[in-house]
Amino acid sequence: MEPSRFEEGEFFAAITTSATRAILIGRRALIALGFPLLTRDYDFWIHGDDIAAFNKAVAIFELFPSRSPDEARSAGRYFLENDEKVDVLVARVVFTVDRVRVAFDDVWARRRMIEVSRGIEVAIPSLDDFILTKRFVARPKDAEDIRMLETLRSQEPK
Amino acid sequence: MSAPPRWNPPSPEVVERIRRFTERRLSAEEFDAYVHAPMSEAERREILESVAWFKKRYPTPEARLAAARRAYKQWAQGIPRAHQSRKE
Repeated sequence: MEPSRFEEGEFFAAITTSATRAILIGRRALIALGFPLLTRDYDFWIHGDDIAAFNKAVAIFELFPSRSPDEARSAGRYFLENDEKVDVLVARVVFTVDRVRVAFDDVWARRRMIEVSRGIEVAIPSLDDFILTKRFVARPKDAEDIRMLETLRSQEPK
Repeated sequence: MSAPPRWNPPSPEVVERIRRFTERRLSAEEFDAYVHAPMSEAERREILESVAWFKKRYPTPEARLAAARRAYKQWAQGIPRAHQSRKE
């Protein structure tokens, strides 16, 4: 099988240019922040109204959605895949493992921008929100990531 | 001097077992116990030093993301997948 024509800088540029409300979450965002980690996937949390625009933006990389926009909105998530994998959370509200309510609109309002390629910025959550997103699925590796994020946060000026 | 021992990758079954173990969902109590386990000064220092090293070696997010993609590709080539063992 021929590999897809995926180029990371172009991928982020396509998302930025599409003006979708998309927040890079998960380990790929941690790597951008400075944590030396390994991951296969890209994880995004996007606004539920922007699914079609997001899919259209990344279609040039032959990334095909696992669900229609309506199905994705109903399920709260979907993924796009070829030899790359993009997990997309689309729920407007997600509860953490201890039932804290986290709304996309609030995380979007507090987002930070990070330059991931020359002139291309993507949104990532604030550190506090990042920690909350790591409490959604609550796997051992998420706990590890929180410990690292907390350590980083302890270094930030008060 | 003798050659260093050859690294043998784990079997696909072991990889799958580890994957299932690390991907399992924890209860709120288990998760908090994990998150709030006391952190030694050595662990804290190791985290900060590894971040400092990574940021010095790859000063921009773009360079860090590219380095992680290369590292993952290299790592994945050495890890057997479950479907390989069933075919073999």
